[in-house]
Amino acid sequence: MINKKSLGGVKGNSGPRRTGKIKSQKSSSISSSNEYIADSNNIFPIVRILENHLLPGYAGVLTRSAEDGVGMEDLDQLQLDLERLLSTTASRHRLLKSEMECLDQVEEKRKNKKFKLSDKQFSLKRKYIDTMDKFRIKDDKSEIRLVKSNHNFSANSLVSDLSVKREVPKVTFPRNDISEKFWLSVKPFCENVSKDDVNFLNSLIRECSEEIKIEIPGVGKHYTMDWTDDVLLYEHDVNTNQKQTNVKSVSFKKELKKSGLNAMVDTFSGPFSQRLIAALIEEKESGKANNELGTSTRSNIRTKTCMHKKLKKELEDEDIFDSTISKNTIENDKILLEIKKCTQELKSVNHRNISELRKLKSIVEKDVRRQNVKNSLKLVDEKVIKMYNRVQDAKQAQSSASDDTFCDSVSTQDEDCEVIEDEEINRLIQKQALLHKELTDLSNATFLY
Amino acid sequence: MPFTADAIAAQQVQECLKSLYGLVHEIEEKRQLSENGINAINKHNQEERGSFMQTDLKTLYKTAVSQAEQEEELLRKALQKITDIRNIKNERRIQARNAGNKETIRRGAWMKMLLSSAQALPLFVSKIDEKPPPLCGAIPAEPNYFAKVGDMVAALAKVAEGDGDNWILAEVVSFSHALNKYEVDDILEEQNQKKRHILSKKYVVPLPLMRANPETDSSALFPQGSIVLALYPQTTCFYKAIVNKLPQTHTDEYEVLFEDFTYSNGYSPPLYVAQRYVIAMKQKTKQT
Repeated sequence: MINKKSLGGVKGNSGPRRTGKIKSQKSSSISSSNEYIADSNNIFPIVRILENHLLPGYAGVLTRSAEDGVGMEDLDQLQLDLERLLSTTASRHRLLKSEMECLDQVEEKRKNKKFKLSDKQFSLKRKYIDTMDKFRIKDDKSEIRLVKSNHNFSANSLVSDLSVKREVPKVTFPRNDISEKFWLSVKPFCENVSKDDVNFLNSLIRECSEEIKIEIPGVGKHYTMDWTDDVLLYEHDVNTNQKQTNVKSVSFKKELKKSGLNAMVDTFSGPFSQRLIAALIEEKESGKANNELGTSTRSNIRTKTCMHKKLKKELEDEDIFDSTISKNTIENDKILLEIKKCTQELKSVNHRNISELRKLKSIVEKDVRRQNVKNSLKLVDEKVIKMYNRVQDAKQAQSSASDDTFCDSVSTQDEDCEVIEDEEINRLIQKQALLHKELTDLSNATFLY
Repeated sequence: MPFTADAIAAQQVQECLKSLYGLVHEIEEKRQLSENGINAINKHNQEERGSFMQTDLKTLYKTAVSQAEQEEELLRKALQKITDIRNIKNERRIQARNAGNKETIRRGAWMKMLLSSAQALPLFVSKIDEKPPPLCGAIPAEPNYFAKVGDMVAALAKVAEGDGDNWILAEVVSFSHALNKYEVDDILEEQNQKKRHILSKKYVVPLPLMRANPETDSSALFPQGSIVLALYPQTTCFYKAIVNKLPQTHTDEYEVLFEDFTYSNGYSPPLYVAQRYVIAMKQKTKQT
């Protein structure tokens, strides 16, 4: 085995030798590709029969007779030549196919859109590229180019029509839609104020003007006091119940004594029954003891609360502790102050609101009035225009009448009419001027705000 | 002895050569037709520009396509014949070796053979919408693939005492499915006198069985800048290299820069390596 380290000298020599060989190979490939381009009309890769000298192995076999045939020594060169032919043919095949597809597409478009192409060989303007993908990209480009070039000629108007048709729904339609949406959303803000708005403002003012009575509930007893009271109350309840039961048991005993224990003992004459009664009595004793224990815990709390009250009372008696002071502090506590402050603030805000609402109301009322004036001005304007037209017509009629000889009666009637009309016109113009002045005053007032 | 294996093989080769001769002549006829077809299209383009006779052009295209298809088919057949002849020869060589006939080829001759065998590797020219198969150019073998007996491989083996492992050019002698191991011969005879290499499958990379045609199947080539293992010219070892230029035609070779720390920039000047001797760099293997 030879590795590169052992062949240090060879390495240096091999480079140029190999590159020299490759250069010759490359030059041959370039020359062949040049031949494609040399044939200016031909865009398809092909090795022409005349170029057989580029395929020495292949050409050699062709010139031989069948007897000589192909020798083993020819195989290497023949393979290279055949491979070159195959590569060229495969490339040509691909290009032809893509051209066909392109033609089919154009035809399909023409069928669908009913337009004609004047330049059917547009696709042949392209140059040869190796891969299919590249062909396709090229195809698309050439199509664009075609449409563009045709677009400039009025003769091929159908093509331009097609492009316009394509664009119209895409671009203009959504824009219209958007503008409509926009104006719809804006409309409520730009509309004239109406009487409903005045009513609404009135209701708002009424609502805000109403006096609100804020009652702050008293703080009441301190929670510790409340709790001690509860405890005492509970204690009281428990005691009364116990007393009741105690009273019952005592009365039962008395009864027993009254009716005579002897009689009872007589009834339980047997030794067993007597023992049973003795056991029961013992149990009663122990139950009593239990009850005493329970009451002791409760009495603990009671003594505590009682102690608390007692201490307080003693302190009050000795003037060390003053309950009235504590009451005063409760009244002047911070929370209450805060609440009062807040209510005051709310009140002032409400006041401001009312004044603003009133201002707004007056503006709105003015605007309503302005609208009314505007409407009446509009009416007057219309009337004036009508009048003007009538006068113009009359003048025209008069000028035409003056050419011919006309009856006097008619002319006098006309004069009367003119007098009346003049008065009316004057009145209308005055009214128009007045209204206009009013309107400008009103709108100025509104805009000042 | 008319029926020995050699005689049969020779007969087969002769038949192939004969049919190849016939095919070449057929191809010439088809080429003439194709050329006429293309000339007709060009003429049409020149003369009929601006008219509306598109259907005419379409029929011309159709005939040109069918002519190209026929020509392509014949060319493929002819090339297949050449491949068949080479396969027969290779089989005979393997059988001869198995029979014990030692090939006594000198180093210089081997180097020439390596070059010619790289050129003789079949060229893959895809049909329309056909994808290049595994072991065509840069396309790797499928994971469960194993190289056939007599196939050329790159094998990571220890070649000399004290020297580390090297990726050497080797030929498959056998493959054991049970052990998942190859038995390979170093391509240079004198190295095998010690012993054959028995290597795990992961240390053996099969070389491409086909060249990729840059004009139609450039996707099956290593992209520029990719790191590969390439056979250093005039050696039988593979070294790490960077692809500098891709082959432009079916006869071109890769221009690669070998990783070489004897040069100031860490890379050798551009060297040319045939498609057959350029393989994907295994990421996990440690180069020495």
